[in-house]
Amino acid sequence: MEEEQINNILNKLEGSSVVASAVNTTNDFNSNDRFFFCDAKTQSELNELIGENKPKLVVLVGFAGYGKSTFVGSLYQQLISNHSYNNYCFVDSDTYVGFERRVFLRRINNSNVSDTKRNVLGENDVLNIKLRSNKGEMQHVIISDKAGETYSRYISSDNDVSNDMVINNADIILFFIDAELLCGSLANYNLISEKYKNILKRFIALGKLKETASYILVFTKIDKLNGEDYKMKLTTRRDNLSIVFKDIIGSGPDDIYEVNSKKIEDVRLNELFCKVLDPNRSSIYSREIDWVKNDIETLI
Amino acid sequence: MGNDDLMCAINAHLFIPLDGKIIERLQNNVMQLLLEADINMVEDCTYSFFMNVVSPDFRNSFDMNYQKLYKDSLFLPDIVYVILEIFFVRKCIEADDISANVRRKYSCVVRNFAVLLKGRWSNLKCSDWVIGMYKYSNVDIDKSKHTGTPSQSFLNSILPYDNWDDTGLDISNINIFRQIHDLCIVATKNHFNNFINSFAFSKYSSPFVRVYMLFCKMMNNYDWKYLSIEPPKIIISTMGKASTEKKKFRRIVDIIRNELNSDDLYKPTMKSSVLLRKIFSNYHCGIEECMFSVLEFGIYLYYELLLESYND
Amino acid sequence: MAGLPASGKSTYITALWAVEKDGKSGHLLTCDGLPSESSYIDEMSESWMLFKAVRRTTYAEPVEISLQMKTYKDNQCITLSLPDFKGEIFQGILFNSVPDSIKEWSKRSNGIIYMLQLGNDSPEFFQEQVSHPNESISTLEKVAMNLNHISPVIQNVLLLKYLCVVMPNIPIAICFSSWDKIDNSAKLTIEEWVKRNHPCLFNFVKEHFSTCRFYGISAQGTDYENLNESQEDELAIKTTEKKRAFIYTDKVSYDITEPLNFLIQE
Repeated sequence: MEEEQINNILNKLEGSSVVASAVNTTNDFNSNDRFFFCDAKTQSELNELIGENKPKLVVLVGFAGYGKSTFVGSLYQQLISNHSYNNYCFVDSDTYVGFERRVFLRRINNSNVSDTKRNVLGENDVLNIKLRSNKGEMQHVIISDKAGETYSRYISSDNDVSNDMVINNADIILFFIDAELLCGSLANYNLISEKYKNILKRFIALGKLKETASYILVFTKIDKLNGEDYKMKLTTRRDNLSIVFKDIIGSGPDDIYEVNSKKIEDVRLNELFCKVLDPNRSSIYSREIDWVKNDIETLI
Repeated sequence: MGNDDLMCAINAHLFIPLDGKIIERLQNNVMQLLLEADINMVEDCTYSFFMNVVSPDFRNSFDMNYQKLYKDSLFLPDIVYVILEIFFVRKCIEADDISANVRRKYSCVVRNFAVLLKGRWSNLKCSDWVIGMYKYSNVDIDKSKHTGTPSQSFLNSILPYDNWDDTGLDISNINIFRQIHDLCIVATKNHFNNFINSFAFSKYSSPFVRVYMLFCKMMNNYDWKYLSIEPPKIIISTMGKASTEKKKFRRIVDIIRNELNSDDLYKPTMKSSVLLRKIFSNYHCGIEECMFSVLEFGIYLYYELLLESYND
Repeated sequence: MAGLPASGKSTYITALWAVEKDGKSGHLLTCDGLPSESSYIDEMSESWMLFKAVRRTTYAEPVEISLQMKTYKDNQCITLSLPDFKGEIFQGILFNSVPDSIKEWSKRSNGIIYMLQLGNDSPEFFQEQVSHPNESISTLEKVAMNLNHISPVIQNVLLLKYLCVVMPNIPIAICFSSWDKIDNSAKLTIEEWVKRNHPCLFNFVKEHFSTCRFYGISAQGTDYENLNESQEDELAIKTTEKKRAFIYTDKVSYDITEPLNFLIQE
């Protein structure tokens, strides 16, 4: 039985690759096109990541180039580089290589390679982080970081949205918006707004947005906005976009962040990281479970 | 309890729900395990459930049985096994073919292990199920059968005489037996009240020690099971204001172990006697930093001793 | 002995053999007689004696080295089996390719000496730009990740993760090789050094291995590059005095059997 359990764990960690052709029988470990131990998982493997408690699920939504993977790479960098972060120690992940890919992507992004040339193989979207608090409690967070192209498909397809298994399970959704693009031409702003309207309407129509899910708007690349004009534009367009979200979802965002994901010291960025990592609020429990207290109160 | 109950309980803790067919198989598998159920299994599963871990014995039995039943193996996240553990315990308690005594014991196991979650109640899964299992702990005394007070005429038919033959009463008569039974209840109550009233309070300085000794001696010496004891009332009546005094559990254990001789310490046999075991052997139980009032401490102790007495 | 390529596994075994084979070191463990066949380790030992890098292990199957040792404390005799795997075998684990030899050894092992070569904190993996002077960007049709793109510390964490799954509850000695090259001017203990420079590795190990110790190890004693004659002579003297190879915990010790002794005691 013990051997079976060990094999189950290893199978879980070895995972599967979206790209079946990535299986390679060569022994050249430096060649490309191989898939790794502890790579990112697919959404069909979500249940396998559950241990003795259901993890917190954070979903990053945003179109290509909006900064989701850079955000994840920076979060990972903070966790790797610090013994303790936000009163937690990063002690494990079943998807280390998934995170390493995001860091790798961040480096590739900086070489100004166009989208078509930075196509990374085998990019599954589910990542997990296991943290141990200073008080010894375990906190487990799953992050869904899908490729932006996926959300572009969601704009136009009910079928693709229906197959999504993470949005309706999310405890917190981060909607990413490229602030540089947003504050560009009016046409760009209108396009961003239109894209989000369409995708949100599909989410709502297909019952994908959980009532209890919290959502946050994250405006990235604010370092690219130089000058007061741009900053004013950001304020106006940010507020307008928030209203778009509020009108469709039915409630405003829980918070709005403007961040530079590459600047690790950014205060607001770190606040957002803490929000991602903090445990869900404890659920309310029935009084009767504490039967002794109940006995005493009955007596009184 | 249908599949729906188990399905809701399990799927609430998963991202991708298990389908009805799998749930049905899981339920059937648990029902098969009931055939081997005993107090040890119930204790093992209850403990593991409250500690939010999977018992290796339960996992092995479950997996082997599933394999035998369905010629198939299933990968399940640990959280599902944890829920199946308490589902198994609940099924044990609700089984039709067990005696009231066994049902009471199982229920006491659940009550007693619940102390492990003191201060962390929101961590508990399936709390409705757990609450539903508490109610079977109490001793049922059918008061309509035994008033607890023998009639004066019965007393008058015994008192003047020195031996049974002279009374002319027929011992095989059910009414006579009931009167004698009532007499015993009155005498037991009397003894018990004398015991409570005369309990040597001044001997022990700490109210925690006093309540510990009170219940240990009570359990050893009196047929209190038949008296419909309400532990909180006893504690309040004997301890008064001291019943609200609070301390951390590790401090309570130190006080009791320092003040009493090792011979005075109750030696528990049940794994679910968490407090008694800690006091007796000072093992690590995980609730050392929890605060207990004398009243709370006493109530937990009472139920642990109750189960110990059921198991004698 | 586990570790990625060039982590120092063979060099450690070589130094161990060279120092302890005469059985007169007075160290916690020392050899009790010669094995019947020692050509493999003798050959490596020659390189070590002549200040040449021990050649990389190339055999697909591990070379099984078995040494009779005795403890200093109570003269207890122990048979030490140290399979010398080539690092590429362990590296294969990162690609979900686990040969039977690893599975076999993992069932039989009583302890792990895990070797790794990580210097002081090197954040270049998180630098925003990694230069590729020989690649023109326009020729990058498709960029795929390979092992070189995974940070060395994480490669080691992955391997340790595998080991803690297949060998649960096993004692482990984690040894940072080439300790002679490490800048520890702050005189941190080895644990403090690991915590400061490789916090991710530190946290992972502390979480998953209940019986674990860290060591810094210099099996060579020094970097062999550009040694002049007098430096070589000095090193030769140290070799004779058994003060060449050393370990570091909170101080330097020339008893490189300490990690083995730790595992045996556990």
